[in-house]
Amino acid sequence: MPAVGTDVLELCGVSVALGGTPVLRGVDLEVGPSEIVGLLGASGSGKSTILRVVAGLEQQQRGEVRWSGSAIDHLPAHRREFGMVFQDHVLFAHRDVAGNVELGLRLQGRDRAMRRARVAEMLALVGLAGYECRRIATLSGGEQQRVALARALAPSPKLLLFDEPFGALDRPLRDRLVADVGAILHAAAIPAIVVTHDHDEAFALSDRVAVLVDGRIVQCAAPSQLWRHPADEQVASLIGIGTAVDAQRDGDVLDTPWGRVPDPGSDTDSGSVARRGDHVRVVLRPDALSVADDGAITAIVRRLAPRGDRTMVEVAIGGAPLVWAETDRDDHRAGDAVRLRLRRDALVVFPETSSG
Amino acid sequence: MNTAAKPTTRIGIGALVVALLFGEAACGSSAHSGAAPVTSTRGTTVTLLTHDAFAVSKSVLAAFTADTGIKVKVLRQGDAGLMVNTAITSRDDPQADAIYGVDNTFLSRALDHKLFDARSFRGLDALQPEARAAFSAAARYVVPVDFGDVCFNYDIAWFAKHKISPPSTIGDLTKPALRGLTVVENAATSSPGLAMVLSTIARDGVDKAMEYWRALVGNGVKIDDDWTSAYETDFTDGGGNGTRPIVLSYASSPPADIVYSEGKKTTSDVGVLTDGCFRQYEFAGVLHGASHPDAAQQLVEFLISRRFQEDMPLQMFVFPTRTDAALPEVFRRWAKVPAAPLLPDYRTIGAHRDEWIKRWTSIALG
Amino acid sequence: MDLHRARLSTPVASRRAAAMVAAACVPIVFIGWFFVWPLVAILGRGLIPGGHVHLGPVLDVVSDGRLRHLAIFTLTQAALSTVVTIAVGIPLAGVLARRRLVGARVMRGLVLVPFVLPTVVVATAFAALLGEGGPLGSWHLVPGPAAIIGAHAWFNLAVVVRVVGARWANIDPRLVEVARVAGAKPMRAFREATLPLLAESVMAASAIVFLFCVTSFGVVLVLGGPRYGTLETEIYRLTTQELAFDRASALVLVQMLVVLVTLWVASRAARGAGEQGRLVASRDATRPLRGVRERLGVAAFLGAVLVFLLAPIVVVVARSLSGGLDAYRSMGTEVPVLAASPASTIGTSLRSALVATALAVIVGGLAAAVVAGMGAVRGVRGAGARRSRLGGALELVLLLPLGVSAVTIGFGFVIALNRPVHLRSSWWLVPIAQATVAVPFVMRTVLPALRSVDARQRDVAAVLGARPARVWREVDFPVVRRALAAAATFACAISLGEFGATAFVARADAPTMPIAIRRLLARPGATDHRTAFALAALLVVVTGVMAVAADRLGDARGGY
Repeated sequence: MPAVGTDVLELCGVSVALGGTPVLRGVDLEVGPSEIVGLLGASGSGKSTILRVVAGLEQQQRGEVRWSGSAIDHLPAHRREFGMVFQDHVLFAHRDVAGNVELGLRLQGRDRAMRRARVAEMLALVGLAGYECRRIATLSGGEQQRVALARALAPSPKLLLFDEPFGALDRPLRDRLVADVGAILHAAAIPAIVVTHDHDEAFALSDRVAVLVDGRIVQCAAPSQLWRHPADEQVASLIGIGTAVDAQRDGDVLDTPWGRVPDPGSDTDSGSVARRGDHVRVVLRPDALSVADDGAITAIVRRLAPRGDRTMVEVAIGGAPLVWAETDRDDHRAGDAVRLRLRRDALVVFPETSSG
Repeated sequence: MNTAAKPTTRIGIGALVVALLFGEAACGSSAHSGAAPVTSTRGTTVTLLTHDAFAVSKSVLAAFTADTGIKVKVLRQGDAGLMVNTAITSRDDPQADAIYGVDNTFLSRALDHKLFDARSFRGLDALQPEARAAFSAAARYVVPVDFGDVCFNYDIAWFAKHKISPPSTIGDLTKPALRGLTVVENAATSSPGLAMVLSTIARDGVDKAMEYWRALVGNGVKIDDDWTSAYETDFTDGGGNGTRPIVLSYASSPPADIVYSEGKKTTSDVGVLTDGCFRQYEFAGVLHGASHPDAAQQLVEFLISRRFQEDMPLQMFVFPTRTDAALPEVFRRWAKVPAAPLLPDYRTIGAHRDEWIKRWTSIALG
Repeated sequence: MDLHRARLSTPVASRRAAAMVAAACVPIVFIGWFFVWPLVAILGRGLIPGGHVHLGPVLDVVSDGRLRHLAIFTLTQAALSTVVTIAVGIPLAGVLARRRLVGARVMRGLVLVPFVLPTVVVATAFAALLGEGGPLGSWHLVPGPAAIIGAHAWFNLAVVVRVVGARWANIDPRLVEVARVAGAKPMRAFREATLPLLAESVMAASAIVFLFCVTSFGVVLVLGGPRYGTLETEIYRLTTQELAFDRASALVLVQMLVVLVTLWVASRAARGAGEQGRLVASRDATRPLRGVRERLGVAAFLGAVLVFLLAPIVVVVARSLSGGLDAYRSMGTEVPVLAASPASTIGTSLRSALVATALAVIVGGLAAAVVAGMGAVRGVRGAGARRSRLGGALELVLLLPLGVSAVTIGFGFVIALNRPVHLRSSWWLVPIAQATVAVPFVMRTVLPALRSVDARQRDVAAVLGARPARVWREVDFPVVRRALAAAATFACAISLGEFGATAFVARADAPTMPIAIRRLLARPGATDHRTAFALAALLVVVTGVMAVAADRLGDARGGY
């Protein structure tokens, strides 16, 4: 086994065209040892193609894929020793749970005793201890996904590739599984690429998130960095910050549809040097507004959405687009007037030119 | 088990490999033997092309091999028509050395396609003078080995039971009393069927013969495609539950009836209408381009030897052309030999065959 | 430098392409050598005698009124036969695939039996049953189209039950349950949920049945009598009786045209109906019968089918027993016309069938894999239209043997197969001839199953470390196993019962069972006939056992 420090996956200028249509246009990406990188993008942005190229299932026309510094483009999929987990789990219905999990081990030529032990270990790891003889058809969606994960983990892959792994599951199940998978991957110190269109999932799992737009990686950063400083409006929208609106800069203050608010750019490191009267685009992060009696903004409650630990209210501020605000009360009614406080650093501002 | 497919695959691949090897080997050996100078026929294997009905006692062939040192490989290929046609088709690269079973309805076609090698066969003196005379023009190419007479047969018991008198001439078959009682074979697909059409033409000329057939069809004759369907399915004394007591078959049917009854019958219920019979000869010859022409000639001569000729009747229910061949008891007693069978010239048959079949088909089946 | 080269040669794709080409070579060489070449040789002799193209006979034949008559009768009887076969076959396939029945396995084997009986025996049995003096002689069906259609349906029921049944057994039962829960009556649920998924296999089965009926020879010859002929019987007559290769070649071309059009229409229709529903290779898609009405309905239906299936077989057995057990006791003694004992022909047949089956499964399976693979390439890459058209062309060429007369191929063998390897009188020619007939069948059976495999399962296996061959074994094989078992059974059955092409392969050693039966039937006298029918009865048993065994193989589960 190579030293941990050298287990780095690198994509350098990878371009793929499928049937003449460019899908990836010069993708550069690096996945460090035991690092989990999320690939976030709308459908059709090429994120699954990146996975297929890394897996060896698809061949790039230009660029190079390297593992530990050397190119692996010549290696067919079955010799790369990676693992892959698909969206709708793609289990082999003609085998039982153990038969699915041990497939990679059998392909490695492991003996029966070893396989049995490893299958038990993997099933325990994914929380399905004792499921060996169950038929796939009798499992729930979440259980099937756990089996798929166990199957991918069993042969100790050098790298795991997840293609929309939790897409087919409902929210609570998904949250739990995301947490479990994150823990398992970190415990096993296996690097991974997780393709998803769900920013929560990407943020929850990944050490870094790469945002893919039209076959290009437009930003790749740690979740917190991405959250605070999305590169542009598109990224902001992809990571779920909300719809951008027009605003006008007036010194340290922004004139927005929600009223005049202090410009966060003036004391952050985003370095936007703005002049008075500039047109800008402004986005509110979901945590930007909260209900507070001493808030400066007046709003009308439209509806209430309890979300487990906290409650969100959708509010109208003047004629501006509806936005969400956090609240710690649960007795709001539609039509109530409330006052809101704005967190300055939860306001993201882009120069107008960046949109598009 | 999943793994069950594996051995099959292996066998298959193995088989393919062996097939190719085997094929090469066969190729090599035949090329070699073809090139060898024919100094002695001893030790060679001669291939005989014949039809599916060919049968011979094992001991008889063994005796030939013991006497001459020549082994015989028998290739059977369909009925006589198919056999002749495949032989013609592969004339430039024949599958065999000798051929046996070409009959006088196909002889002219075989000769026209130069199927045979010219040889001077020995032992012809022992054969029927009339056969030698009829086919003298072809004597360099083929020898007549056997003959049989295609005649109408009738079920004696059926006629006795129904108190109807059986036919005595083929003209009777068109009479209302025998309406719907006859089954014949299709002249376009069956050799006895063709033989009877040729026989009527030889007797009455084409136009009158066609009228006769029109009358026969008008009298409810059934036409089957082959002898088996006619005799075994439709004939009352055949293998099935036939309903027709008159069938177009052979003059040797009565002995066959007794032999195949396995001792249950001592007399035959099959009567033979000896009027209007067609005499069918079968010939043997050496194929053009044979690898072992000398051995092949020895085999053809063996076919007219007494040993083979006396074995033949009970094997194939045909008569030997050799005059001194002793007939089995059951043949002597029960086989009918028509007094004046029709033997139209084989060259005339060859010249008009297709045209006559076409005319007959339009009358009988149109 | 090294990296640069690796990049340019796109190794994964090219390796895949190389494997595909290698796999494609096997069926192409096989069909090219043992089908196309003999066919071209025989057509060449007919249409280009002495090096000059001679199209007169083609024009004569086309303008001849008799041809129109033959062609219309050929197509009409084939279409009607197909409709009847499908109408009986679909419910039977459904009952056998989806209901848990006592004796279902035996029934499946029984359905296969007619398919393997040599047409000589089938025709004789039907003639004995329906002909003058037979138990049903008063129906006056022989000779005539009704008897032909009945015999064709009897003969081809197995195709529908096997091809459609193999697909049906793989359909997720929950689909129907969903429709039922949504309020659909059983027929409606069948139409909405099951039929779309079956459509491709029904089209495949119909195409095969239609082609078999178009080229049917023995049945038409015996049951049609001299009056009802098809293109195939006319080709036979022209080649074997008149040696008229020119006119026969013209008819062969007409028949091939019919076959190509049929295949094209079928593949079009299959693509139109190509609901590539996801299949599960589920352990058990059957359920017990529920309720009195279902029980009675199924019992009545199966009873009727059973009578239909058994009547001709009973006639065969009865004929074999007409002399007591003598026919069976004397099996071991040599019969001169066979140059062997009747019993020994069983071994000859089995040996030949085994090799033919192996050849057909390898060649047909690889062909299906290549054709499916080309389709998959298009599916993933979006614009592989050219390559996929290549796959379609390959599929058509490989299906052609279904529709070309055995007579033609037999004659072609005689002319063409002596160079470069002298196969013409080799032992191998018999299984090769039989495999040629079976290959299209194997491909046709395996292809729909192969196409239903989820491509991502292959990706999963590949990423887990499976080489392409292993991917096939782990992913494709379990799903296509049923289809493969069905195909192997059919291939074996076809070679056991194959008569047409085998009859042309003149060989010195012991004949196969169908050839022996035919020779014995052509002999005068009841003894040989009883032996023939006894052999036919044994052929029924051999086939039945084999079919049941194959059924088990297809159902057997992996050991993991």
